[in-house]
Amino acid sequence: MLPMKARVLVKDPNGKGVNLWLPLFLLWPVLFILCLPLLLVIGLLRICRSNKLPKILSLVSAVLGLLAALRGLMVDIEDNDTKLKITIN
Amino acid sequence: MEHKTKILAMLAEGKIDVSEAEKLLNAVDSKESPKREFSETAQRFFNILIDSKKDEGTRVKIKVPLRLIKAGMKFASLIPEESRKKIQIAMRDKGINFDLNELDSLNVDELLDALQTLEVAVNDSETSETIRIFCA
Repeated sequence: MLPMKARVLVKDPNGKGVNLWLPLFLLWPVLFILCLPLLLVIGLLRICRSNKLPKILSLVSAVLGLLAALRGLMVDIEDNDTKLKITIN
Repeated sequence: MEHKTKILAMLAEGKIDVSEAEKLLNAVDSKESPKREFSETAQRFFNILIDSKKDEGTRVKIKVPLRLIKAGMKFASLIPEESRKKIQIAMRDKGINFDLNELDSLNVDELLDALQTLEVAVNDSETSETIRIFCA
């Protein structure tokens, strides 16, 4: 399953900073629409029985797998001055 | 477990016979098994914890899903041969001797299996730095 939200938190020593909630679930439909031409290319290659089709399909599946696997990633770096936290869920 | 005890109690009381008890126990087992599968396949993370008390008290906590490592390796295996060579040369120049050609699905699974039992703990008293690498 693709990640649904990401959080980026940056804090300075005064406690001020940025706390961003990024709704990734809004990004996927847009990305899907942008990828529609790619689906057309895949369809055409399938019709032409091109030998590049398996490579393209495995690349698409690898990219989707990589995006889906991002879920759960967490990076938290903190010192006396600043705090940076990135989470993807 | 509670269901099984009830079934056995019903059998002891003579409310059901052995064949009925067997059927019920099988039904309970089939209901319980998906839970077990879930816990076995639950997401595991590769954790890196660095705690330095010396400089500015830097604390680093990185949690990478093992699935991401696997997906990354799968992605790396799709890199064309020519680009692989270039990457390899660049990595060698940086002092990293790693052969990308050795990355196939079998190696990835073996590596992930090995990672699941990995636990490294380094405690440096001179720099007051603690590094922990483990899977959980």
